[in-house]
Amino acid sequence: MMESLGQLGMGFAVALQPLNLALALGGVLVGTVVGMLPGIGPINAIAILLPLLFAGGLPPESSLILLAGIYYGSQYGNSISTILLNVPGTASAVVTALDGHAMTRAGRGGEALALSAVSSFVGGTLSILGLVFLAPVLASWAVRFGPAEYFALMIFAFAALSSLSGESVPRALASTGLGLLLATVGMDPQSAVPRFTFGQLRLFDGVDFVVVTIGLFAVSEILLTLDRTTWGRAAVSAFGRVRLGMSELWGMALTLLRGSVVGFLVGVLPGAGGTLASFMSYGIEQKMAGSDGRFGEGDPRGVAAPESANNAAANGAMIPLLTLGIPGSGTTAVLLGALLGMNVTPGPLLMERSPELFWGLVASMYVGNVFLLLLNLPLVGVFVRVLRLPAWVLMPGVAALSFVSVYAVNGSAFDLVLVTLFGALGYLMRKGGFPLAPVILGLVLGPLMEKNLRRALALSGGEWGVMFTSTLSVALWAAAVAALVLPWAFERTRRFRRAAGAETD
Amino acid sequence: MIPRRASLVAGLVLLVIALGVGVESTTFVVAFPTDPLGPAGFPLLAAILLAVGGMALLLQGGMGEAEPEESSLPSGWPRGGRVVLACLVFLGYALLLPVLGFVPATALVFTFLARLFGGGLLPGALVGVAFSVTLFALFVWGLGLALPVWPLGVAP
Repeated sequence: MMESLGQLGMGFAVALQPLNLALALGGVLVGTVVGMLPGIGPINAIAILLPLLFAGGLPPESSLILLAGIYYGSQYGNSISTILLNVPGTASAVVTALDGHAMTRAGRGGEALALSAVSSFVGGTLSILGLVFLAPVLASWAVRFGPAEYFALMIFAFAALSSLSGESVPRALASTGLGLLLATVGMDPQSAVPRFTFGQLRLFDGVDFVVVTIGLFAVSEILLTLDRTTWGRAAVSAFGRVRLGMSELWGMALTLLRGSVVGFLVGVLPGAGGTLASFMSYGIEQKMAGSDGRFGEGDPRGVAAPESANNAAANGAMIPLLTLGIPGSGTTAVLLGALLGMNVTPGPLLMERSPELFWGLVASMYVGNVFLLLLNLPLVGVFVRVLRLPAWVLMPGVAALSFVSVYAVNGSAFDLVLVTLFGALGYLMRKGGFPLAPVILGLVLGPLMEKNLRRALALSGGEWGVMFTSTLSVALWAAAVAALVLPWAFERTRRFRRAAGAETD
Repeated sequence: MIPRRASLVAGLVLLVIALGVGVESTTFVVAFPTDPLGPAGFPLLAAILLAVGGMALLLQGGMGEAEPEESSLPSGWPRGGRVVLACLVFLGYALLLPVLGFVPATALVFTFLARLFGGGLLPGALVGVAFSVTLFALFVWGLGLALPVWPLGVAP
C-alpha cells in the first residue's frame, strides 16, 4: 500500500512536468468545448480528438495525459449542456438533467454548474484513492488469469453491458455480434487467411477503430440531428454567478461522500457503470432526504449525488480497464482503443512493466480534475457562448472536424467512404433501437477474445471443456448468464405480480 | 416505441447477415491448420450471436410482444431526403478532397451542410471558408498532419 503511494508520487512527478501540465490544461479545455456540443458525449469527443493524440509525436505518457484531460473535460462539458439545455449527451447524465435543469429554470443554473464541478472533483478525488489501493490488488490477482478465464471474463463484460444498459437484450446481443464480426475483418493473424475483405486490399489491415467510432457515433449524430423537424437555436437562459457557498457545501458533504462511494463500487463492475451509479445515488439521496427533499424541482442534492457518483464510477471503471485490459462500457472501450493505438496494452503487466505510464496516468487523471475545478468555475460563461451558435454552424463544424480526424489516421480517402457507411449504419441502428456501445466494445475486445479462445483450445487440443475447468471461469460464466437472465426474470415476476394483484383487487 | 414491423425487418436483416457470414466463412481454408479452431470458428460464433438476436426480434415482432416500456428509443423510419443527401455530400467529400485540396473541398462541403441545416448560402460559405482555413492551420501547421494541401496537379 505504501509502495503504491510512493509510485503515485512518481506518477505526479511525470504529470507535473511543464509540457504535461500544458497538455492536461489544453485537453481539459478542448474536451470541455467538444463535450458540451449538444448530443456529443465523451465517446464522440474522444473519438473526434483521437488523431490529435496520435499525430503530435508525443511520448506515450504525455499522450495519455492529453487523453485523460480530454476525457475529463468532455465529461464536464456534457454536464454543462445537460444542466443548461437539458440535452444529456450520455445516459449517465440523464439524472443530472432532472434537478440541474430545474435549478436553471429557477435562475440558479450558475449554482448548479458550480455544484456539478465541485461534486465531480470530490467524486474524482475519492475514487482515485480507491483506485490506488484496489488496482494493485486486482492486478496481482489477474496475473494468474489463463486464456479460458480471460475469455469468460470478456463474456461477462458483454453480458453485463447488454443487460445493465437497460436496452433490449436481443438488440444488444446483435450489436455485440456485429462488433465482434467487424473485429475479424482483415488478415487473420494466426493463419494469414483474409476474412471478409471482399478482395479489397485496403481491408487487409482490418477496419480502423477510429473510423468505426467516429462513423457510428459522430456522423450518425449529425444525421439524426438532420432528422429532427424543428431545430432552433439552443436557448441558453441566464444562469447567474457560478459560485457556491461554503456552508452549503458542508451541508452537502455526506451526499458527496455517499455518491462517491456508491459510484466507485458500481463503476468497478463492468456494464453500465456511470448510468447505474448516477441513478442509484440519486435514489439513495431521495430516500435519505425523505419529506424535506424537493427532488425533481431543483434540489441541489439531486445534482451533487449523480455528479459525484458519475465521476467516481468513471474512475472505478479505469480499474478493470487498466488492470485486466477489459473495458466495461462504451467510453472505456474507446479509451482502450486509444491506448492500444499508442502501443500501450493495459493489463496486469502494465503496472509492473511500465509503472511510469500507469501511475502517470492515474496522477494525470487527478491533475485533470484539479484543472477542471480551477478552469471551469471562472470560464463557464465563455464556454457557454459556443452553445449559442446556431446549428448550421455547429453541425457542419462537427462534421468537418470528424472527417479531418478520420482522414488524418491513414491519409486515405477510402476511410472517408467507410466513415460515411458506418455513419449511415449507426443512424439506422439508432433508429431501430440498437445500442452502439456493444459494437465498439466488440470491435476492441474481439481480437483479444479470439486470441484467448484459440489459445485455450490449442492447449486442450480442441476440447471445449477447457473453458469450464477452473472455478474462476465457471463463476464468470455463471455471472454472465445471471446478468442476462436475472433482470428479465425480475421483470417477468413483477409483471406477473402486478397482473395477479390487479385481479384480486 | 419501435414499430413491430421494424423489429421484423431488423430480425430478418440480422439472420441474412448471419447466413452470409456462415457462407463466407467456408472460404477460409487453411492448408496447414495451426490451431484446432481455425480462422472460421470465431466469426461463426459472432454470427450465432447475430442469429440469436435476430430470431428473438422476429419472435418479438411476430408474437406482437410489446417492446420494453422504459426504453427511450428514438422511433420511426428514416426521414429519408435530407439524411440521404447528407450521406451523398459526405461521399462527395471523399472524392473531392484529393482533387481540390483541403481548404476548397472542406469549405464547399461545409456550405452544403450549412444549407441542409437551414443556414443561408452566403453565410454558410463565409463561415465554411473561415472554418476550413482555421482547421487547416490547426492540423497542418500546428500538428503537422498530412492533408492534401494543393489541388491535384498544382505544384506547391
